[in-house]
Amino acid sequence: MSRNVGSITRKRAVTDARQRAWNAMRILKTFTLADVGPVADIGERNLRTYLNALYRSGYLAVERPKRNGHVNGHVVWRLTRNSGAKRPHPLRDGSGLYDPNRDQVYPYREEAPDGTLAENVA
Amino acid sequence: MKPKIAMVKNLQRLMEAYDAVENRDPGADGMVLLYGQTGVGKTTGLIHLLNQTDAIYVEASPAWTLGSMYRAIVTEIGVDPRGTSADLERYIVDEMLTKNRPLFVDELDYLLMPGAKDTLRMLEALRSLHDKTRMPVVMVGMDKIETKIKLREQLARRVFQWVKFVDLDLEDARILADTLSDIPVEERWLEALFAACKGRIAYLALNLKSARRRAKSGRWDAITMERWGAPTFIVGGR
Repeated sequence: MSRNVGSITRKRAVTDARQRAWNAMRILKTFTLADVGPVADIGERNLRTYLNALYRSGYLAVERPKRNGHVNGHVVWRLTRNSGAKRPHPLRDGSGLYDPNRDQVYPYREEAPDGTLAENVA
Repeated sequence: MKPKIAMVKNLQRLMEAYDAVENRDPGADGMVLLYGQTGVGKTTGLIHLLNQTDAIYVEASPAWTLGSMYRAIVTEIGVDPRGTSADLERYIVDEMLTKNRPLFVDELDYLLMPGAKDTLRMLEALRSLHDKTRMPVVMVGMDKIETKIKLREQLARRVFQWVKFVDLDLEDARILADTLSDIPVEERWLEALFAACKGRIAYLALNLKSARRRAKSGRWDAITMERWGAPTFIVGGR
């Protein structure tokens, strides 16, 4: 659709895919991979990696575990640390996520002894 | 395969309405009211629009007063919400003006609940933010909100675009089918699915994904009634 020259306002799309995903998660609150992907226009692999990182640094809880063989068997996640508008992003050294909203680092947790972490995310 | 958003008619109308707001005549008001029942894709539409516009997004709460509304918006901008309401309003206006950011207020129903405090002042404050910045203000609520807003004539006059999200129709089901399935979907099957799901996008999508999966593993060349068997569909649960 063409835009009039000198229009009052101009759309400014969010260019970072993970920021779009973070925005979606904040609004949805509970969601699956399949809920976030299309609306945030983010590739599945990127989203999976990001969800994994968010989970390991304590932003997400598992509302319902993965159900193998179900149509809608994806993990249902719940956003438990809605810290603000800016997406947390991984530190270069791979030790955790930096949260620009709180200017704080949240280190990755160790995998749970029962292996739930790997199982939920895989 | 990168999953895509289905441009069903509700979403098309929302994007068109927003374009109309952006291209409105100077001097015309640019408030938008987006409303509809749950389950028709309102939240999806809102997220899509948010990601297209870098809007400031806040969710109203039943506990909001004028002060807490301002604080919520300033917090969302990423500034420590200190100072008087006038200070906070100035922060918001600055942010909207200098960064061309629209403002979205979700769950507007809370502001219009019977007995809600400060209702009028909060609605006036939103209108004032719009007046001072000329940036779009998008208010989002349930389907009954239309009547409630129309009772407040002053506000209703300022709403430039009323976007009602309605149940999906068969045409939408086709758009959804073509977005979600790379395997052709027979019209007769789609009609049966549509009849079972009654326009609720979540169930339509769920069954389409399920059908696509069965079609893939069974190497069907199309999703048809014949292949599917009994006309049973998932219409409950998550």
